[in-house]
Amino acid sequence: MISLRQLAWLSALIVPVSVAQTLTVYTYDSFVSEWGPGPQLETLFEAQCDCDLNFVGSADGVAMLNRLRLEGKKTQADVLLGLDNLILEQAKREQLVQPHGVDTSAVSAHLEWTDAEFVPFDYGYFAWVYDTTRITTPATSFESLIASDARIIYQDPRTSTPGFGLMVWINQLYPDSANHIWKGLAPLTETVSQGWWEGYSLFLNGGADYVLSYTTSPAYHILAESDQRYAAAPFSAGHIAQIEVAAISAQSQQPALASQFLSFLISPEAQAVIPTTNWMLPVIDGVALDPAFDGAAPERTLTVDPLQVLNEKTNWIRAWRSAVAQ
Amino acid sequence: MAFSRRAVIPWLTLLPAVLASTIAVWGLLSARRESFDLGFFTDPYFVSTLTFSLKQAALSCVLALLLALPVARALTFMPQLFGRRWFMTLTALAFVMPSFVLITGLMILLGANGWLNFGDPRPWSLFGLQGILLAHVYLNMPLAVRVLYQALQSVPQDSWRLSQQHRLTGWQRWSHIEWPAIKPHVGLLAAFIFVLCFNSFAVVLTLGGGPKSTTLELAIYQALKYDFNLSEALLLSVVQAVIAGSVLLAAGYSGKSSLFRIAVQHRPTGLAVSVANALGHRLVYAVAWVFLLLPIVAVMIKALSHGTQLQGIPLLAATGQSLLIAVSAALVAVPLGWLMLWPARHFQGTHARIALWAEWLALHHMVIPTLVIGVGWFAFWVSRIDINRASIPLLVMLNALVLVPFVVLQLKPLLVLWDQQHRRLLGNWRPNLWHRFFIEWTFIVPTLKPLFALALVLALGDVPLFALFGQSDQPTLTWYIYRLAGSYRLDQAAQAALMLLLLSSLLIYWMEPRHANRR
Repeated sequence: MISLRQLAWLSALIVPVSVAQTLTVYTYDSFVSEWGPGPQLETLFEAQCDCDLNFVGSADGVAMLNRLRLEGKKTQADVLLGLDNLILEQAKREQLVQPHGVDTSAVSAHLEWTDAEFVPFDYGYFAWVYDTTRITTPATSFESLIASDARIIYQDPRTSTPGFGLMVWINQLYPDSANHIWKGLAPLTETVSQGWWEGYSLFLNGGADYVLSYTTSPAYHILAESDQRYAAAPFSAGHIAQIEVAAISAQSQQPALASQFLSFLISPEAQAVIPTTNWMLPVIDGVALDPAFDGAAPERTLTVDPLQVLNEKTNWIRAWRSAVAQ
Repeated sequence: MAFSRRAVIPWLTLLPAVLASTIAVWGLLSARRESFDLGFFTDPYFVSTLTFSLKQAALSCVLALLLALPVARALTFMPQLFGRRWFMTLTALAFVMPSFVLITGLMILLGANGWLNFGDPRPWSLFGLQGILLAHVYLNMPLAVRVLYQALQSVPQDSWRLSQQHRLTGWQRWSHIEWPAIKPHVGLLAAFIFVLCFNSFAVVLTLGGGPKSTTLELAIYQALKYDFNLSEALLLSVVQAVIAGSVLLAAGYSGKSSLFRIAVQHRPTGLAVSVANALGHRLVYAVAWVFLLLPIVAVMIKALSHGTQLQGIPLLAATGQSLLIAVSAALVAVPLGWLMLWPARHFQGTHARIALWAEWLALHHMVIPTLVIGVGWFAFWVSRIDINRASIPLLVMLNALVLVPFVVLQLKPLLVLWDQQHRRLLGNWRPNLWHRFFIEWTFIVPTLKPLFALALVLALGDVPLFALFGQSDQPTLTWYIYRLAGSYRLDQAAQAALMLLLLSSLLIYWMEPRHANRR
């Protein structure tokens, strides 16, 4: 049986549709799903740009990057949306992006954003999320986590953004003894999952006491499920942020329109959509946030040098692998 | 001479599969940036990865066969078994079950808070080698049961009767009748299960539990996706294809290359079964039932315990999209597999070795990781066509390629039999191609329905190909499940997974021969 949508699709194969201006935005799949920010942002932007906004979803940020690499000069992407501060240097080194020319002065001062090619659109902090009905005194540091008899789940740093974040976080806090922390975490580890959701769903099903996720994860349970059970453990030594970013593709033939979209992304109306659709924090000040997000900003934050991440990641992964594989 | 002009035509049928692989390798070679670095072959991590791949595949294979044997015997010897037809449906379903549905079921049962994993400290962890073995046994033991059962069914009733008249002991009967009946099938069956486990992806990905349990397939995935090191991925694939391919070839050389059919019909042996033996058989049968059913029941209970929250329309659209791709892929794969057996059959009687290689070529997509073909195709086509527009045709073609080996394995024993029966007749008659096709068609048509259903269900489980070529606004059911799960909507994901399971069950039920349960 062929649905109407498929018929429409089939006819699109035969009849080329020509719209004056189409802005093609490469992003990750959950951004464009019906409950993600994509549909609302599309409506808002198309109302002001007189253009057709076309999202192309990949499985995740890395898959999107690979797609660009394979497409090379043939890519149809105008905008890349959904890389983050930890891998943006890679995209720059491969010359996949061009300067955006967007005024980013509205971006909250504490993010210290000065990048000429990437515009941030949301952020969150990596944290260990736990179930308050099972853990009454949460860990406040990696040392106290290791000293507890809790079971933990984290993601593979080679295949998952939060897993990669954890690796950067540990190496940031313990530049000389990261190995020691990995070895300490190993006996507590229930499993190292490949992706965020495999680990997170295991945790929700009671598979562990802590799971590596974001400080914003509890807000989802509070707002979407009215469930107050989950919280993020605040670490006194500080947390590192994942800042999600967008950029103009190096191959884009309409950088002005792409730039307009990037400006729109950090506008108050777009930023208001993001917290309860992408479950991350807005990058500009003055966006009304539900109190459920109160715990999402940690007391102490750490800054990360993206260039150092790019240069060190292979060594870090090797160190993790040999510490954990024993 | 094997390569006379007339003999060239059959080879042409292998062209699609060979061309597809060539395109993939071409694409990867032209898109790679790193040169080939042979150094990693001596890297201890590569060595441990290879060792672990071999170890888990060998163990999975041996366990699946050893556990399947008593079940196949129980099915053979017991004239009356409650729910035999349902059991056979269950074995087919278990073999084609999307692995993430199985994994979800196993988690619910044996995960850290699993229903069956209680006590302090918890006796079991699902992650690591034991979890991988459990899942592999679940997925492959049912196949072994069906093949061994089928083999035992081929023993003539007279043999059974004679064994009773001569009062053979159990051991004698095993060594004189049962083992000779299953022996020609064991080599290929073991090779087939070994290759499936050696190339297993989702199970190892989810249940491996970390870098300790990495397989070659997983290393290829990591090289392709996260390091974007196409050269390394190619080299690893070559290693993987050489190992898996040699295992298949060796199985072909060693045995009589007996391929198996998966559809099974029951024929009673006519043997009387002692009370003690009957009890043993019934016990084995009951345990097998519980083992195969438990994960499915677990997923059902979990999915239904939260009330329905699914949105009907996206779910139906996704199901429609899945069916569109899977039905088309199965429709392409079945005739393609049939055609691709032509050269192997052509040389069967005269050039056995050439026939074996021809068969290997028809099967070779079984040993190449789907992701490697997918990425290679993407790299090749991206500069030549508009991939977004060609999404559905590309998905259909690639899914069909993945299905072809299964079609070949299923059709070959039938067609070989047909050739044996008709070779002389056809030699005199020399019918034209169209007549020949028509005669063959009437012969294999009863097999086509189950074959089509099996191929269809296998294609429904595809994730890696859709991830590359799919359109995110036209998700398939599996993709939709991943999307739900990836956005915190885990209960809905379980419900959608249940829907997939039901759809697969219906198709499998439809595939089983109706008259199998008459007695």
